Amino acid sequence: MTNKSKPIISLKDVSKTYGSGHSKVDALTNVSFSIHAGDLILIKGPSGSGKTTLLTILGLLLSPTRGKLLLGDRLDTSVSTPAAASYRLNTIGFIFQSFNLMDSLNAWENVALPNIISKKAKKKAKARAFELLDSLNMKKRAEHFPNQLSGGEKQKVAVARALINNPQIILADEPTANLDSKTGATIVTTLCEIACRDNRAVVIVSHDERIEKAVKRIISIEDGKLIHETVGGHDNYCQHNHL
Amino acid sequence: MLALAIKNLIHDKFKFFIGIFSVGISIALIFVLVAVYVGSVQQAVAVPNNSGADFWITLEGTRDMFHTVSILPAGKEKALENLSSISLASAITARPTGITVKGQEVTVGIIGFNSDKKLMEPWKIIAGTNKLGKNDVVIDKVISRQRSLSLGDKINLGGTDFKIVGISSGTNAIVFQYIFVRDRDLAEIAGSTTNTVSYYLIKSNQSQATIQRQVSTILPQAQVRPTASVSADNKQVIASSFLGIILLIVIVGTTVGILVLTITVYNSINDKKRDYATLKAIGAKNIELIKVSLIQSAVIALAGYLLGVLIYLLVAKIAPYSIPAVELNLGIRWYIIILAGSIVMTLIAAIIPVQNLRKIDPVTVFKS
Repeated sequence: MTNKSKPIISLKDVSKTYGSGHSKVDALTNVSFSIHAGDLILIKGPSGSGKTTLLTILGLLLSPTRGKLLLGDRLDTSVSTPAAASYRLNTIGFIFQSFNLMDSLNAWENVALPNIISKKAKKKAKARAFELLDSLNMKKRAEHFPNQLSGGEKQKVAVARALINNPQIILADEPTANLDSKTGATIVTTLCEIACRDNRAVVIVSHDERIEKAVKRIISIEDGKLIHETVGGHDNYCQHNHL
Repeated sequence: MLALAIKNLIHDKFKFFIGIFSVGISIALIFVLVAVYVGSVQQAVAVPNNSGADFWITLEGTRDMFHTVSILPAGKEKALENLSSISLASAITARPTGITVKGQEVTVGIIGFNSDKKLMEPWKIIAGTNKLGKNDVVIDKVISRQRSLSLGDKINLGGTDFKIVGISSGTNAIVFQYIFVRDRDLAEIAGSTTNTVSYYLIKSNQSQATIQRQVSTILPQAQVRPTASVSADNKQVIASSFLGIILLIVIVGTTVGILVLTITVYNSINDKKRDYATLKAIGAKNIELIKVSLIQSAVIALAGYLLGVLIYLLVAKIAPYSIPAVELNLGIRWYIIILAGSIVMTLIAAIIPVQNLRKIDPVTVFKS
């Protein structure tokens, strides 16, 4: 589990507390770990264990109450700054449980959104969006709107959107929760490919036990504490799926 | 982001078109009211501005042509023209009076002028002539329309029939319309009982003070006023009578426009709250989302403005037939001013939606 490359993101004794006084809730307590390029990490734990809080802190959407969040060598201090937004835009790709596609935009426009926000030329953004959709066998559905797509197709569009700005890290929140098992498996394989082929870090928060077989590292948390970290069945999974 | 703003806005077409329609109605209301006001002012100043005179001699204390009556002794034209400061003087009589048209009493503003002096002639003839013979009359086009009067028809003034030889435009003072007759015909009707006129109009290149000094030797109770000053006082009458009400309704129209814009953009953002949270999560800065809100507000305001202009032009086309006394005629300047007002409206209307956008928490996207 040791990786000699420089970490993309490191957490050092990170804690997150919501509320104060009697209503105080410790969502995370002294969590430390690092994420490197090519990592494929599953964060698992029961409901309310702090998985999503951890993911939002990694995604610079929530500030830790205590502890340090290091982006490379740099200490991050605030989540609500334009710099944090730029970091999210250029370094992180998000995949959500509910896909979060925009109904008013078709598939390729949804994929191109991060490029558009980065002020890239529309023509280039469209070409890149089609390229990504093609790699996910979704080219034929590029002009379709979200209400014309199946759950699996929507998640593929969301994956393509997460990849369009070539992020160093992908954060996926329950990416298979709203999908049938076959489609879920396809998405997991895609995430594996992203980590292995593109050398990006992929962090998945999920209850789905099948994902354990695909990932390199499994971080278990309970009551906001990191209980243990184990090795996943990634190598076998890659062999089995010819990745 | 422009495409996203517009696509999000038109996603619910019903709300989008209702927004544009409501803003359009508000802007049309503003256009019509401003046009009524501007038209009223134009009519109020039309008589002095088209008189051809440099100065007006009025009874001391007379301010405008509507509220105050000027009465001066008649027959002073020659004496005035003998003054070194005056090159031409012409007496006119201008006052509201009743005429009989097809058996009905109609109030008009009558102007009796000296047709030899070329001052205060009807200045815009749309039919017939302004060269008047004995007992000829030029009437305003509004009376012509309202009373179905044509060239050759007769109206009765003080028991004498006058033949319509001309129809004039721009001689409508809203509350009444002007008719023009020769001063000597008017004097004949009045007989020896009224040996007076309302004003003397003069041509002069001397200063007001010089003319005043000389005129006082002939008409001690008179004041000399530049034509522009008479116009300004006429305008003031309209401003003090209508401007307050018109401003109030313009404010109401603007407020309605701002509220409709605010509600439309606010709802558009509220309906797409999760989309905006997603945009924030994936890296859109607040300023970019504020642009979205401003673009949406501007699209509705601009479309509403164009619709408002169309409605106004339609009303202006119909108005002369349904309300002949009201003149709706706005210059390009007013289109620009109202467009600028619409832009200000856009900015004000975006304030609340922008606050709403800033408050959207991107963490909410993780809740399924």
